This record gives sequence, structure tokens and C-alpha cells, in this order.
Amino acid sequence: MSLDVNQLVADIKDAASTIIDNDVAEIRGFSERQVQALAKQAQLIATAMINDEIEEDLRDYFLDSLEDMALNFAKTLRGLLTVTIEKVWNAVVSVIWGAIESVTGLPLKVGA
Amino acid sequence: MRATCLAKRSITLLLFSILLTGCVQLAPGYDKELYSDLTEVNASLLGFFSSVSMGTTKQSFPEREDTYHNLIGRVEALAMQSETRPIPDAEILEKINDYLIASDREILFEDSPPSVASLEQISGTLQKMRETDEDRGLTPGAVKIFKNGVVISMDQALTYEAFLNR
Repeated sequence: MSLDVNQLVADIKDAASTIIDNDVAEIRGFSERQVQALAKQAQLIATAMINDEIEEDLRDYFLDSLEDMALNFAKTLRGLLTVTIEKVWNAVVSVIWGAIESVTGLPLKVGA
Repeated sequence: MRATCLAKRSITLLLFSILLTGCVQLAPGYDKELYSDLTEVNASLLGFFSSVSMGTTKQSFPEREDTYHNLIGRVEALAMQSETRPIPDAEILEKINDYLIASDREILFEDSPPSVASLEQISGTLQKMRETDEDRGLTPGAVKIFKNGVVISMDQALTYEAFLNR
């Protein structure tokens, strides 16, 4: 019995697509919330400045913080992406090792 | 024809390298207790913001001082707890970063969980809020901005920590 390469490629694509589709939906929801909240923060700062509700030092602090929050948003996205890459990687390994196991009849430790 | 052959060879090499490496863990493990503590401190933070939503005066600051200390301490403890978790396959992240550097990519993967930076941001926000409250009191507008900032950072931390539950 030989390994069906076309079937293996199709299985790998399926495994990766399922994970990516699911994770992208979650990441999109998070991104939308963050973008809305960051825009709201800019609006709140502008309103407080117009109404003289915050002094100069606090205004500078809020503006610097907004920049830091945007950076942390990007860092979080990168962290989420790392988890997705890990899941795809492990799914691909699992499919490949499973295919080899079925052809050779030899058990492989997928968790290794 | 030659390009197709090269592509097939590249894919084979990639699959072979993945096969040799086996399963990997590129991010810390999910910490159920940490996530639970995060949701608890989030509820405490929102409760506190609700209590000062109409603004404060510096005269009444002593009534809130302990609450500030308590919240800042809890958030900093969670940041520390998040940072101390190991990443089992950190050397693979280093290899990915080496590849990105060699390809002139500026975005590199970090081995520190992003929730640490978000929690440190919350701690910094609360410290600034405490200083302002003690110095001159808080206007309702300032409270709204502090609150929304904390909400943004907490959403980042909670989303990442929940995402680790794979």
C-alpha cells in the first residue's frame, strides 16, 4: 500500500482551513471591538479637551496611553496569530503522521 | 515545468521539516486560574469605576486609597503570574524570528505573552488615576477616559488568555 499524495494534500488543506476559518472569525471579532474602543477613546479625549475637563498633563498622558494601547492591540494580534500557527502546525503534523501510520502500520507518537 | 518541480520539492522539504519537528507549543499553556482571576479583577475594576463615575474630589480621596492599592496590587500580581509561564518550544520562535530578520521583516514574535503588557498598562492607568485623584480629584470626563482605557487593555488580556485554551 502506498501513500496517496493527493489525498494527503487534501487532508492537510482541510485540517488547516478548519482551524484558520475558526480563528480568523474570533480574531476579527476582537479586532472590531478594539478598533471601536480605540476610536471611542480618541473621541472621549477630544470631548474632555473641548470641555476643559482635563488639564494639560492629563491630556498628554491620555494621548501617550492611546498610542501604547494601539501597540498592545498589535502585540495581542501577533500573540493570537502565534497560537493559530501552532494549531495549524500541529494539525498538519497529525495528518501527516496519521497517513504514514496507516501506510506502514507503525505507531508514531504524534505528541512528541 | 521546472518551477512546478521546484515548488513540489519545496513543499516536500517543508512537510519533511514539520514531520521531523513533531508537535510544537509556541505559546504558553492555558491557565484556568489566571483567567478566572482576570475576570474577577475585571468585575472589581468595573464596580470601582461605577462608584466614581460622577467624578471625585481630592478631599474624599482617603476613602478610595485602599481600593486603588488593592486593585493595582491584584493587577500587577496577575501580570507577574502571566509572565512566569514557560513557552516549551521558544527556540522554534527564535528560528522563525531569525527567518523574519533575514527576510527584512520588522514584525517579530515575542516570547512574552502580550497579556503582560496589557496588564501593565492597566496598572499604569490606575496609578495615574490615583495620583490625579489625590492631587485634584477626578472630573466625570477623566473617569470615562480612564475607564475606557482599562476596558481596552482588559479586553486584550482576556481575549489572549481565553485563546490559549486550544
